[in-house]
Amino acid sequence: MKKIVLFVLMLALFAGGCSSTQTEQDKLQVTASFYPMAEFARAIGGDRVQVTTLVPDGAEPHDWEPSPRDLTKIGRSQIFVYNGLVEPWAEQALQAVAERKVVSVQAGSGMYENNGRQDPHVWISPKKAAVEVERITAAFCEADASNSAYYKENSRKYLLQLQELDRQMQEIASTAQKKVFITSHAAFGHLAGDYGLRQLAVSGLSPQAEPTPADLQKLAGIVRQEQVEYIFFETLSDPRIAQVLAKETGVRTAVLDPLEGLSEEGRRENLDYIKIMQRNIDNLRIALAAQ
Amino acid sequence: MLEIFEMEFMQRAWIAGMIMAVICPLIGSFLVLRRQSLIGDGLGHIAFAGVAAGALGGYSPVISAAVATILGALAIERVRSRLAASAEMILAIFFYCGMGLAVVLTSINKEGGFNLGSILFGSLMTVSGSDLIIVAVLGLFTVIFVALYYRPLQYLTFDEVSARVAGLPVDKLNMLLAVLTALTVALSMRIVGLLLVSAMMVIPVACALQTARSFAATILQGIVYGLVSVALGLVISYYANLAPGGTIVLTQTVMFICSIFMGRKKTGQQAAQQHHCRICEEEQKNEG
Repeated sequence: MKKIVLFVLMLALFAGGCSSTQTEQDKLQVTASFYPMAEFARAIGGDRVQVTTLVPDGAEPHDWEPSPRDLTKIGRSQIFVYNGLVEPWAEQALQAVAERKVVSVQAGSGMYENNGRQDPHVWISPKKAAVEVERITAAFCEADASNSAYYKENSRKYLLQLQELDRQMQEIASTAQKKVFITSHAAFGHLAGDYGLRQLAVSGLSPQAEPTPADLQKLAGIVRQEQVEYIFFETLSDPRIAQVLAKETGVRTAVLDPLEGLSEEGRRENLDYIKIMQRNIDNLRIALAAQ
Repeated sequence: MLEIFEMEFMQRAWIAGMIMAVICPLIGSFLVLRRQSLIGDGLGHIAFAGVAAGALGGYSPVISAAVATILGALAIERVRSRLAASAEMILAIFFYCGMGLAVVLTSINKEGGFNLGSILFGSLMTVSGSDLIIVAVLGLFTVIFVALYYRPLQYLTFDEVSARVAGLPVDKLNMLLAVLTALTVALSMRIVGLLLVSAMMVIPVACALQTARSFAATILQGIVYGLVSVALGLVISYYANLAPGGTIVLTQTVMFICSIFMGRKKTGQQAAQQHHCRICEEEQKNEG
């Protein structure tokens, strides 16, 4: 019995030693659900905000669930930024830390409707990303009014970059010879919908949905009919199906990054949302034979 | 303050876990000795049917689950008192019947729209303030019930026939115990998860059976094992980022393995002591 008591005491001491020292406490504390939300929050907050990303880069945000420690991180922050729909756990998590009065920003709220479906991937459209950035900025200014001029200035600079992406997309849309592009997972519906293009996805909205042979047959038909030259696959999930389709129909493959996380390679090359979107847009320009 | 106690949701998890660690071994001690270890799990299966029926009829899932488990527990008790020798067979039949009913009822319900998982498998991390009150009241009832009827319950657990002959209200007590078990399962599984409720009724008691020398000691030690497992499990799960319910159950399993050795060592010592005494006695005789 004495041994048990000793063991528990030692564990408690160990636990005490582990609790983190809070060096960045004077900064506005923000938790963001996954990569694009964290990126927007960092861009707006600059060095006056401490941003913690919950879903680790490289993990699928659709499958992730918060651990007790992640809930503590949310509870310790002043603002919790999430996209909505991608984070089915968000509501419960906020309930768990209800006493902490964490301000939550559902950045994508009200923008999910696309082609009659609820599509969570709103951050992929520069137009809707801009709305998300504006909402996060408003929350920062309200929570930390003394720095609001700083946040607004950062936000303005970031919105200019998003506007440039938007301009390029409009240019592609108006000069494209093809209006259809094929992706491995239906993450680009908002990008297509906002610029009058059409996305055809090999699998459904969630990256795990496997296409049936009939789906593949239909897609192969469309590839021939529309004379599609490229099939896009994403960086995070299995590109096999897109590659099979590409082989069968003789089209080429290219990468369209859904920006659900930053890959190891992306981090090494110091990429960010704007740079990766620029690459996406360049690839789309080629695939759609636009000017 | 320690990080693990910092957030209110963790404090609620600790309190809920501790209350469960008292309620479950308290009831579980009677169930395990009556060879009904699987009843917690089984009533959980029957609760499935209750939730499915509730969804079909438009009733609150908690109430329909509670009604189904109480009816199930009473029915199990009825059959068990007739066929006491095959207690586990009867349990098994009721589980499968419950699952079958749940699957059929769910298939009738074309609208769907309810999430069985979220209703049935609660989580220690999402315990709310009102959940705590439910668990606390349940705990109070359980403690009062066992305190009031401790002697007769003990009697009928070890020898139901003699208890009946001695004029104890055996049927009434059995029914009360069954209803209490059903309520514990139906109300707590949504709060702390079915896995934790059903394991907590069995494993701490199993540990105590290895180390305790009397029935009262089995109950008390069972509660101590339960409390220690909740504390260790929560600390481990928090700092190692593991699922809390499962970690507590695994902690209990490790404790059970340890308790087997602890029990053995004790009986070994006892035997040695007795042997030693006999030698003493013989020596004394010889001297005499």
